Amino acid sequence: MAIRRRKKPSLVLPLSSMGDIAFLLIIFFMLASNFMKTGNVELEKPLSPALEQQEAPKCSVLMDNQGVIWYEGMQSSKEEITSALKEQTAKDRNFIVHVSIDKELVKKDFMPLIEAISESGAKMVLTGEPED
Amino acid sequence: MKRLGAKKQGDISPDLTSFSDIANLLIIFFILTTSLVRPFGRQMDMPSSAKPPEQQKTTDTPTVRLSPDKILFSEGEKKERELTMDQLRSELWKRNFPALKPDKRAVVVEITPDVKYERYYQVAAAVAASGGIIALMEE
Repeated sequence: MAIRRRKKPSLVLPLSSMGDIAFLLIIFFMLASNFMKTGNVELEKPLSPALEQQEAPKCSVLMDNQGVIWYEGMQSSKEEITSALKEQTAKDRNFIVHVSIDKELVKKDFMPLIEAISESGAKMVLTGEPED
Repeated sequence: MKRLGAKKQGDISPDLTSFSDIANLLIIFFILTTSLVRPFGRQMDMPSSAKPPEQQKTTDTPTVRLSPDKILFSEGEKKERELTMDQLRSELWKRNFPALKPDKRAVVVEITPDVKYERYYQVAAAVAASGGIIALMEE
């Protein structure tokens, strides 16, 4: 007598709902994200107890532990930053720039940057880490 | 005989596998490049040029002289005093800067060349938190 072989059920995964969820996640990230332009920069922020949480930065200037200046993720000079920020301030008087500087740098490194930003007339938020 | 070209009637089920693959790749991209964290910081009121005009520093302008191991605070004719960071904070809060006119809110911060940014930052944040305007002086 011939033994009937069981028919293997075909495995079909319903992927349409997964795609829907994936697209919802994409839409969420597109609306809520703020691209990291500073992931490659090595700097340790200073600690201070007198800090407040700020809005997500529209524009950021960083000075890493080697004293290199980064404007919006691009290596820049103080002069370039002053002129770029002057342009932005001409468009928007309340333009805010977030400034992050490595905590180990000394006056000759960080002060020219602060002066350059101050000269542009842009409002400056110095970022740090809250101290407990 | 079966007619050629006759379309088979049935469910339309497009292959969505590649579609969701692309969506997942986009999600991975966003996860890696996104920062949802809001930074901590302090908005600094500084004159448009860091070097304040001479007339801005009056005789009663509070002055903080910062070196790597000392904070010296003086005001007007009073003698310079050495303060801790906490004492400086309470000294600045006593001034009630928000109630004063902007030209009376200046606090001069003089720093020596070997002062690290963290130390300067703590003083600058304390001045800003109390409502003062930082005036930087060249050595």
